[in-house]
Amino acid sequence: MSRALITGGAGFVGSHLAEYLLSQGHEVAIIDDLSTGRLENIWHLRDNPRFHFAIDSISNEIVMDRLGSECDIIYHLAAAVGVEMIVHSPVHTIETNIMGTASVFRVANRYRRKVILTSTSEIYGKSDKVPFAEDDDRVLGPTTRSRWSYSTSKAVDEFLALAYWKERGLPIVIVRLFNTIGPRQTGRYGMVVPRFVGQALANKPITVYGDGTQSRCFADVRDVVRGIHGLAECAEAEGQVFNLGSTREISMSDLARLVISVTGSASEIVYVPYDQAYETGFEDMRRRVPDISKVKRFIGWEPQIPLEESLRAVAEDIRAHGGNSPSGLRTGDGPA
Amino acid sequence: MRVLVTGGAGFIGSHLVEDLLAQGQKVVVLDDLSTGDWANLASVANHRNLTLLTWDVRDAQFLENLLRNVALVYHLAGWGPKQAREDVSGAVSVNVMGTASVMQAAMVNSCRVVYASCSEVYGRPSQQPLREDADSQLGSPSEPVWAFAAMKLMAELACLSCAERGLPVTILRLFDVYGPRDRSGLTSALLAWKSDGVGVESLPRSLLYVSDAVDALVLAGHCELAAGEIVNVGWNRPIPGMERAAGGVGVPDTRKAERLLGFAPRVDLEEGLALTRIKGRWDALK
Repeated sequence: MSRALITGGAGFVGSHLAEYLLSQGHEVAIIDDLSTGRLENIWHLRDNPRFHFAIDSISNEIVMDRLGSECDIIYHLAAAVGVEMIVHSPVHTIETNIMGTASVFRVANRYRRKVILTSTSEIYGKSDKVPFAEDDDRVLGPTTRSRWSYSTSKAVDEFLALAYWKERGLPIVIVRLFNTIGPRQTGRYGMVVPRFVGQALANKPITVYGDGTQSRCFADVRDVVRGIHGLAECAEAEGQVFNLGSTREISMSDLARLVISVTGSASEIVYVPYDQAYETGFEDMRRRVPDISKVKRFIGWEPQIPLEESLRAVAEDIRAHGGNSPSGLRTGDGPA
Repeated sequence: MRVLVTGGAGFIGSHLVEDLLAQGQKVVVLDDLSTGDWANLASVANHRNLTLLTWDVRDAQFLENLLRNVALVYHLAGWGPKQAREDVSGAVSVNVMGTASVMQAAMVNSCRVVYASCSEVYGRPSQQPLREDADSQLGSPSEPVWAFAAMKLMAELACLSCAERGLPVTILRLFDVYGPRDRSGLTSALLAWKSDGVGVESLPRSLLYVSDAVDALVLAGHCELAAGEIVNVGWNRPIPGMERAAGGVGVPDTRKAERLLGFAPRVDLEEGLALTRIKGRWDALK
């Protein structure tokens, strides 16, 4: 049994990780400033005596120092997330994603705590290589598009993590998450699955950006947190970078159809040009497939939950809690 | 109103400061001397229009106060590729957070900013010459050599996000600058190649003498049209004797610099190296 600290623990992935670690018998503390995380995500854990939470920013070094001293391992998930959020607020991205990470590593190094840094498939930029292996090049469009600030900020985080490993011998593992879905994910930051499911349940048109032939691979968050924990427990994984995601590709058009069939919706599918959905000149990746042979080789991890089941779980969650949002599901946030 | 040069005790910074003073400007230099040296400003040390501040560019509050009486900021403070490779977290702090702090202070005081970026942001591009809107192809984070380019890109993004909110910011991507007081190793490698004729393969394909870089910086500081723009600054013509050079990221497309800034480099390599030798001896005498 260990004591884990999860930054961003009230977020989508963070709250599932907290739940999973508690179910494995660990003690869990989370820190979250609720800028994108939500209290509702962890409310059901509050009576567990092994669960503790601090509503604060990871840049509060006094709080982080105490939490860092009291844990054995830090799962660093706190970040400004999602493509829409990032496009509109690049300065916030630097503050949260780089200064925040730097402060987590300072504390981790002070108490010599292992850090699991969650990174993102956005790292690979607009590279058209299929699939992405961990050491592949990163291809970014011109900086005049703030589109690339999320990718760049997470790359700087990865350089920082690897430098702590190489220069100071701090144990770290980097996990690059690809598209992850499941209950409690909000459509507020441009996430496609909760947006589609929300629209399907409301029998409103499902809005597909572009021509709908672009594809993604969706992993269930319950598979993903199991993988993150597996890598955290694996000594050989220290100092390494891992892709974590599903390799089952689905086009956005097929996803919309699957969502309609799983939810039994009467929605129709509507196509919206990128220029209307995002800022002009928005660059999207046609495909984004992880090479997951490395994580398989190190810990034998593979996704187990089929996409249909994940979509059913998302639909059930939105039906029961309105997407767990106090003001109800907010499908209207993305441009329609 | 005054002009602030961050990193003004460094290689390019010190040449810029000399030029600004010669123009009659009032100049404030901010340098924490982590890589700069006051000795670089020996020729103007007692100039009445010069104020030297040994301070950290990451001190956002200090900068905010300092910029109250400043109209134009040349942000040159930053660690180079070699130091960035050796101490990644130190370099992230200076190059990324330092730039964020400068931009924040500039936003509060509505200052014009010229940011000195560099050709490394293009990574290992597949097409030449390099236009400002080319993609960046960068290596994986498991190779620390790529950390520097990622930091410079992040700093550019910070500058551009302020430009989007109306701040007049210009980003210059400088292509391999050499000259007196350069301690990056480039100038000494050039001089070594000139004297023994070996090692040309690892030299950059484009080389810019420091006075040309200074000219471009000065022009950018006064160019309304260049606000919110990224501009390549470098040498784009073949350099005699350097046909086999394969270092650096490549050769810049310089049409934007000509069009927007009216800038074209004037000092070729022969002359630049001659000036470097003469000035080097002059500096050594003092």
